[in-house]
Amino acid sequence: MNNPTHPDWHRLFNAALNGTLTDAERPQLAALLKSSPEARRLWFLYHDNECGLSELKIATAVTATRHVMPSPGDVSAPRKTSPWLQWRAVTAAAAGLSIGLFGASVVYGIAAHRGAEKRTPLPVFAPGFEDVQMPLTAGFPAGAGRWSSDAAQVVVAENGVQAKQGRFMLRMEPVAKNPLRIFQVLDLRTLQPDAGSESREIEISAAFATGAAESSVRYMIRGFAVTEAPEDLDAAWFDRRDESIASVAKGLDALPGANGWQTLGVSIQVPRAARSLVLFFGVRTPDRAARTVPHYLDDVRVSLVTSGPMP
Amino acid sequence: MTAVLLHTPGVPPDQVQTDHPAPLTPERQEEFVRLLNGTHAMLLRYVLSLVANRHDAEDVLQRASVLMWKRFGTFESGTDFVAWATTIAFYEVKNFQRVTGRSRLDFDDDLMQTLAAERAQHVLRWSPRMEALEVCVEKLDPAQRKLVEKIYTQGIAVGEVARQQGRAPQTIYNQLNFIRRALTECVERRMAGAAP
Repeated sequence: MNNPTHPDWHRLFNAALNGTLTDAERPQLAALLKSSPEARRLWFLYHDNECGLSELKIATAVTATRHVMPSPGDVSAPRKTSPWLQWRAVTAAAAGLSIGLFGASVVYGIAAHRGAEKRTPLPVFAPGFEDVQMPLTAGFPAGAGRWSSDAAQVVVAENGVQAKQGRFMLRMEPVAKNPLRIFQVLDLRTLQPDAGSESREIEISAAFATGAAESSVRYMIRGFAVTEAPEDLDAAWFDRRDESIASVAKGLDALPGANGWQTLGVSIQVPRAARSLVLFFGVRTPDRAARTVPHYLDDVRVSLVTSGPMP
Repeated sequence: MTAVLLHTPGVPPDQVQTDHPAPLTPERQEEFVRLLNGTHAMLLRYVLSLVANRHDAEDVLQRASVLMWKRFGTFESGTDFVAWATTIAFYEVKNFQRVTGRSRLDFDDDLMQTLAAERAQHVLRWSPRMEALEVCVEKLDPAQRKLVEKIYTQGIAVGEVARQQGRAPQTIYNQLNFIRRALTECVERRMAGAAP
């Protein structure tokens, strides 16, 4: 190495990235970074690598490779092809920003461009909310095959919003609670074991709309893979969500004036040990005065993604 | 509608904008999307080095992106978008830490200012470092690559990896720490033009 560094630097930087800095180490790290330009440069490199490792697609088997088209606006430098690594495109969708006319097409582009893959829909209870008599429990759902919510109701077109698909949609009631939440638990025990793979990729998407487009709103999808069976997840589980073995979260900020349905999609690698996948759809309204406005959810889709034949 | 101030107490008064700026033309909207697309990876690296937590960094950048959109009318085409965007992102980092009361680091204002100023320059050359990282990852042994894939690509928690392998979580952390250090030193060597 050209610039020898003290082993403690690496220990402190790793602890910071692991979230395991002790009360004694925090001031040590701050003092080090204050005093040493070389330490700051290494600190920056650690964080470059941390981002880079998340953006590299590391293929450990030929069948795991996928082709991802870069977005037209991606100015990343051209890269050499590698048998091990493929660039995972980072697009505006990664910023999770929905801007008026660009709206859904920008945000959903990430998934839509992934070609050589097969998507098998997984059974979701009432994905389009087409049953007006659909039971809707409060709080966290007791088992699979049902929706639960803080406050919601199946409705027809209203407030200038028509169902994304079918005739009905779910209205997430304007309550003071922030964010508004709706849950469903999928039972993963029904999936065929995927021989030779320790995890399975599952995509989740949903369409959101607002009853009034004058305020900013953040739509969210979260997915949590857990080892417990759906019937073993109790009402307090959401408070223990950090115990999940894999999770994903994505938000989409719809700016004032972003009318119409905004489709948001996420992907999660679900370890084979997972027996349940908790789906969470949420709406957060930063402006308290705007929390009297209903929001709508429709067209929930969950798919198992498997690699197709290589071209 | 009545103009209201943005809820961004961390932003200096001279940068506060109204919540309802003049509408952008379609061309300016396209310009914004193009610029944000092209710099997103860079901005995420910038923010991450100030908060040291990936999830927090993504959250901050998302908030900052909304502010950039609202203020894009003040950005002059052809000037330095990265400088403009990192300034907004920096104040959003401080705002985030104050509002959430969440900081895993004891960085005071002076240190934050120093890091932000130096990082804004350092991050401009992230792309060659990324290419060096690709080469360095290929030099890891298969078991190390497998661990990187689980943690970073599949997003599996360290505790779950430990359970799968029948090992203590600290063992996995130790392996991860070793890999990070090895990759960092490898990237440094490659960037310095030294031995591969």
